[in-house]
Amino acid sequence: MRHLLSVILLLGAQSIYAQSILKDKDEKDLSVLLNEVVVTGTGTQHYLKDAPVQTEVITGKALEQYQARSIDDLLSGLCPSLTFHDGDMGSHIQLNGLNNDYILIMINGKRMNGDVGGQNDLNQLNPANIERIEIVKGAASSLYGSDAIAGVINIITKRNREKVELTSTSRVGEHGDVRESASFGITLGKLKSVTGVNFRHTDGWRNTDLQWDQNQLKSGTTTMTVNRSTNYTLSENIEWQVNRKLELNAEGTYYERWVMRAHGPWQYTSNDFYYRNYTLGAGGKYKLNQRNYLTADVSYGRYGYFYDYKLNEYTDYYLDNDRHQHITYYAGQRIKQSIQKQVLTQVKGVFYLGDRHILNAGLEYQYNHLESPHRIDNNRASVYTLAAYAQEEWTATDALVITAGIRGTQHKETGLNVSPKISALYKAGDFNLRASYSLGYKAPTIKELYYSFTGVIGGGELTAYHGNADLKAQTSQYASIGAEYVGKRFQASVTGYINRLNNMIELVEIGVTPEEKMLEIKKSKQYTNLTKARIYGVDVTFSYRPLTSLTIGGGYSYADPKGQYPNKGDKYLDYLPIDATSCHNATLNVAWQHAWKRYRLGIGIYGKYQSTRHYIEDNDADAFQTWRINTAHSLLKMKQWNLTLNAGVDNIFDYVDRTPFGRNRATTTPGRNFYVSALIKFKSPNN
Amino acid sequence: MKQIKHYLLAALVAATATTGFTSCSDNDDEESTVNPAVRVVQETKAHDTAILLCTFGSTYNESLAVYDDVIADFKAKFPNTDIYMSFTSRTCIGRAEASTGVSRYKLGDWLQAIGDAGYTRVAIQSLHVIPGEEYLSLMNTDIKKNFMIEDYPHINVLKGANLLSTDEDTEAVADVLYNHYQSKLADPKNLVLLMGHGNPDTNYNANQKYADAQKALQSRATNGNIFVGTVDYGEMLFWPKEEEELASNRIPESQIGNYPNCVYSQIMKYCEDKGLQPNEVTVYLAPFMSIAGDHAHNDLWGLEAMAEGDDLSEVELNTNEYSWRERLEKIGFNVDRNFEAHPVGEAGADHGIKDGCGIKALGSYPEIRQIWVNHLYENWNDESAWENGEDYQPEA
Repeated sequence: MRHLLSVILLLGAQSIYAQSILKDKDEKDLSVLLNEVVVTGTGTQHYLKDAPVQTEVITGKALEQYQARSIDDLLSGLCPSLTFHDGDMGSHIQLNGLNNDYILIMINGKRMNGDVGGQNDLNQLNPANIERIEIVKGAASSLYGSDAIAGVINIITKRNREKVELTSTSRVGEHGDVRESASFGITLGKLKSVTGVNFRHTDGWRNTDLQWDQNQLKSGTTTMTVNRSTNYTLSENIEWQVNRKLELNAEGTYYERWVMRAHGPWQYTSNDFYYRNYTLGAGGKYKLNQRNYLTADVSYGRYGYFYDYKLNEYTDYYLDNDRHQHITYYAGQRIKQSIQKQVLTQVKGVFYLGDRHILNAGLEYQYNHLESPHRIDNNRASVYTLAAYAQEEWTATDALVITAGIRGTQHKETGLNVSPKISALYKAGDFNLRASYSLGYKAPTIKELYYSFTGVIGGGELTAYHGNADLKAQTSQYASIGAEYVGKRFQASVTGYINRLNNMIELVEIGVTPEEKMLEIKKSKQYTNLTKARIYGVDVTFSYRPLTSLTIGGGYSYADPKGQYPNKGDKYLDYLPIDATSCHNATLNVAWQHAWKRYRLGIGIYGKYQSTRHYIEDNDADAFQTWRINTAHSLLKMKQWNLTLNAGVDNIFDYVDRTPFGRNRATTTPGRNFYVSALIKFKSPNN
Repeated sequence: MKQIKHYLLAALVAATATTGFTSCSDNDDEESTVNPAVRVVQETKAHDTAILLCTFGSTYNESLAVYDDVIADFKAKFPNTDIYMSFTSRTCIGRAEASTGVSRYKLGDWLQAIGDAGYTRVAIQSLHVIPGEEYLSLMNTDIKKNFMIEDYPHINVLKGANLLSTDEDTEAVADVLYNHYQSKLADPKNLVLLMGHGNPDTNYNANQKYADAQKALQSRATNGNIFVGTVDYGEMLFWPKEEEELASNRIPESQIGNYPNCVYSQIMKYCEDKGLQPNEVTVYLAPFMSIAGDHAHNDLWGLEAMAEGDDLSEVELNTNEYSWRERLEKIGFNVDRNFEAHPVGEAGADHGIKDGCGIKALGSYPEIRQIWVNHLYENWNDESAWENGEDYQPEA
């Protein structure tokens, strides 16, 4: 009770003093990555070093040590295969050269709901609630369906293992950056609860005064490099161990985000953005005899995207198509842009057949509904997919594990797709060799299927945009081969891969119909399966621990992503670099720590390099590198408390890309900036 | 003790749940059909006659200044009227309002507000150059069918024609332009190229006005060294337009002989006839449009590329993605970058201010603006020219 009260006090006041004194956890804190358990590749638990499907992990520990400003900052700083570039609506993620459209982002194995312009809203995530992040590249697993062409990013959230557990990070940085991420777990008999609170605000910043506008380079812009924004997420997860066989869980999240934009020169945007999402989920796990079990889950998500008007906007819309009822959006109004609803249901069974076979089979139903006024016929549309999969992990010999699977997906419009996958792990002493081959699949989005919008996008001619219900799914073939060395002090891996995409969906100009001509429509475009892309790449990771107190780790990702562009001159059949991709990306981190009697100092240095980012139109973005240093000061000898104060400098060498607005930028970093944060952990273990 | 724990947990869950899941209303607003023009008309109305000037609109400050000149001319000629201006483009309306505070609403909004405000006479003046699709749609659909017949049959309406309405208009415009370029045109090594908008739909014969204007200009310039092309009408583009915007459909150089009316063919023929190499020829550029907006800065001058120190090696002749200026320079012509141009050397310093731009559009010439004014004035005092929709109403 006493603990609980103090926890609540701390939650409220965020005071940084704490008097309890306890044990030294030096060794434990340096826990090596290899002991991480991963699940994403196979759906069954494996130590990372034994995972049959190559998996990259960002540990919760690494998240804590990095003290990132935001999730984007964190992912790009710790994983060389992930890069971010900014677009109209915020930052856009890429994994090995492919954008969010081809990345399946999941929370605990469940597809994340809600995207804006094809971008999942990662701001919803609470870093304090993240146990680890697993990344499986390519369409390598049968467990996941549509979109997992570039790979899967599976965010595993914390489950409570203690009687009472609190983690809180309060971070304050320049530019009005404030982040409070907290997670509170409690066990009450057979009930376990994890409550998460995440709040983030930034005032934003402007790296240049210049903007291209009306074909001129003008100074005095009000456009921001990073917009002022505020968001928060609340979450609650409850597990109930009903009896030895049955475990039930329920969870819910609620999220709101406000993004302020420039309403003056030279942008004159009329609106700010507002987002709101909530999710509800429930599920259970039933243990059968031996290690076999069944799980069932159902979840619902509703993601809303709105414009908050600051200036009037004069539309081309008429209520009920009555020309007397012209719609104007007035300053002060909040107007719905889209509501995305998703229902997921999955049933899965894991069966251990003898010592050498694990069969993983399941059914999945996914329903997506999109409400988007003026952009879809009748303002709304929906699709469903029904999928069945089976995957077999066969430990052929002690050294050889083969994972083979097949996934069939029935989609409302594109019909049946069957994607087989196979991967193998061969262990030879300290070496692991892995290979995989898989077919991937991406169903067309609701927008691609049913879009119906007439308007002027980007100042061109009045254009009618059409969805296409006859679209085929985009497909991919992915092959990879890798070698890993797992020594005691040194580990390294090299993986080469090829990813080929077919039937990629593009907006293509079609003839204007007589009806459209009557409406003065000048152009008509429709989504069409048209182009191909291919990516060759190599990923290298290493970790070296020359001393108990020193760890050096890093990664290098080479990718050569190229695709076809239907509107690109004589070169429309050529393979040109995929927009906004860079060939070379690397991260490096050095962590040193030393403990004295009651105090431990940890110093982490993190570097990130990104080569020139290529664009088909306009300028390429410069290559850059940024470095950061984080110092962590922990008080030791505290029994149940763990208190760490971090102070750090991000972007030590003050790299700023001051490219005028209207041109492509390498990075949005504001330059050298300082931050401090307090990490408070409290644990009262179950006895 | 144990009970308290339960209560606490319950409270925590309840707190999360109530903030989270019960507030399911999105708190958003219904789309509003309130007409923004009503307030402006109510505040402005001082007379019984309204004049509504109709144009596509622009977001360029220098163009907005030309519109101000147009309004001033009409005010001077028609003192006892209230004058409004409509933009077709919603983007232009929004930006003009945000950057200057002026209200240039859509035609339908103005007509509704004017009709409801109690005006007895409404004059509609087109600021179009040619009687193309937009002009005909304005006069026939918006004004005659919607406003006069369906909505406000009791209001008397006078329609003012576009700039090049009669042959006399074309001659008058040619006079103004010829006088302006006379000294340049005297030297056959100079070329003046004018960019009209053009009507992509060839079912209208309005594009003939450009050919007429070119003829009228060439009849004055004895060297024949002045040409009118378009940015949006297939035959008179710089290079003929591909069927659809696919590179495979582009017209190759080998077939350009089949398109004698495009700007490229005409100027190359001019050089051939005069025995000139492109590098001996200086080209002067100007829009043949009411204002110098995006087409003039972008499609004609390629200002952005110029400001960035363009790379001509990338320029392709057979796609209208590139500006006239870039393609002319690619061929080898000397484009005079200083004569009535946008001061690119000061692009960074010229913050879109009203007077920063040297590009002259048709509306920049007071004499040409006067042609529009006269089109309305010529029937102003002829009562029979004011029509209404009463005769079109079904018998009761």
